[in-house]
Amino acid sequence: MVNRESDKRVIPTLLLKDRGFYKTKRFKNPRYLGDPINILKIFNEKEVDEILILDISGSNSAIDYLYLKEIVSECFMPVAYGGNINSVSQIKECLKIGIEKVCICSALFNEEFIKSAVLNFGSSTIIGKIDIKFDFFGTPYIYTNGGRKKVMKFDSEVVEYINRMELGEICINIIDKEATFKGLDDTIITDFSHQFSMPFIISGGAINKSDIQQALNLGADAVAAGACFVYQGKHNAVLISYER
Amino acid sequence: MVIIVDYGMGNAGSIINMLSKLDVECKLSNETHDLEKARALILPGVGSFAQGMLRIKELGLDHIITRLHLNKLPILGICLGAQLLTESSEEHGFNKGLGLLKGVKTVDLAELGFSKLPRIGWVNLKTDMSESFRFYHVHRFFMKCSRKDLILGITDDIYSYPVWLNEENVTAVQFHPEKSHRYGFEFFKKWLIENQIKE
Repeated sequence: MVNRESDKRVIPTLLLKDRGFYKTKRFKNPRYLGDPINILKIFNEKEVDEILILDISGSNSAIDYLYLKEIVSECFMPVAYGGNINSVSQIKECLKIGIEKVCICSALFNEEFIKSAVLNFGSSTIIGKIDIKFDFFGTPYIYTNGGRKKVMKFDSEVVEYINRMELGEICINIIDKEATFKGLDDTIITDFSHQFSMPFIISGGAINKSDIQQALNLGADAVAAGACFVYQGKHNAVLISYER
Repeated sequence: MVIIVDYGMGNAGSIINMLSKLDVECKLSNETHDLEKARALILPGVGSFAQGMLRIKELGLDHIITRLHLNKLPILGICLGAQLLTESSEEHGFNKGLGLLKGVKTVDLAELGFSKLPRIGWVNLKTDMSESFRFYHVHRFFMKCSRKDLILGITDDIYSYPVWLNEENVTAVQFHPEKSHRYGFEFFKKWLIENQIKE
């Protein structure tokens, strides 16, 4: 077995809306955290492995490239951006302004688009993100459009599709766990991380350093998390942290 | 002026951000007159080798880069940009590169035993330099080098493959210094000073 310990990453996820960073809980109730420039500056100083910025404004708003360019100009770490990415020209613009990767969620099952994205920009530029909710029986289902649209069952057919598309990374996010501090989903990691041919990122519910370490030990290649890097204490006071 | 060669592939924005922070004048361009007046060239790149080489040829950049290389103009290749400086690649079939680095070929990382690709993450380097380096890597192919004298840095892990090559005016790095925090700044400062672009 290949030892990949040194490449394992911990990725703060920040939600962008109306030029502010917010934190949601189970994709609901966005709470204002602060000014993106300041927050990114803190994460940059803490030398984080990578940053994931997700725009949660909704599908009707166009990407504000000038603003994005401004906020990532002081990010000397890899930056991934997601939020309504569904065209090759959007990806091209993102790469121009200092973003290295795009995160594709709702358009992930648009096969033609994904193929041309990978062909044009290389697989390492494209992260596929799958948001999951479990049904009453504990079966995982994929949701898109900010968790509002149920799409299909998350199973080995989905894995086969993702592997065939040759994405650079796959991020599995558990909606029901988001910002709950209930722990990353061990079962999903154990069942799925080894099935994917590309690095596997798990997200949703991270508690602390040891929970993250356990997820990495179980087979995740990276952990993405929001709440545990922006909240502190039982009342969720806003405090940016990033412990190695 | 440092020219970042624009062949439509790569995260030029990130490189411009870092050079600007270091007070180095730079510009993204593929115009012959810009390249000819350049103090140094940076070949960025993210994407596939075949696609990259195709675009470079379409723009006629292969001839210009080769000519400027003969004049000993400092050239820095990053990631795919570094791989394009090698003799050839086996990505999506055999493709010839610019061939500035003789004895170096771009080959699949799977050859070294990686089970999940691309390799993405921070990797410590082993070098003869006094500084310690840790860089962000994201790649599926690597620069296999048969000439030890070119190698400045290898990965400090069980694979020990070369990621930092140099021959006179040509520097090729597999990692992304522009996205590697203070290690990236150190790297660029070193490259700029050694090539007398900055004091």
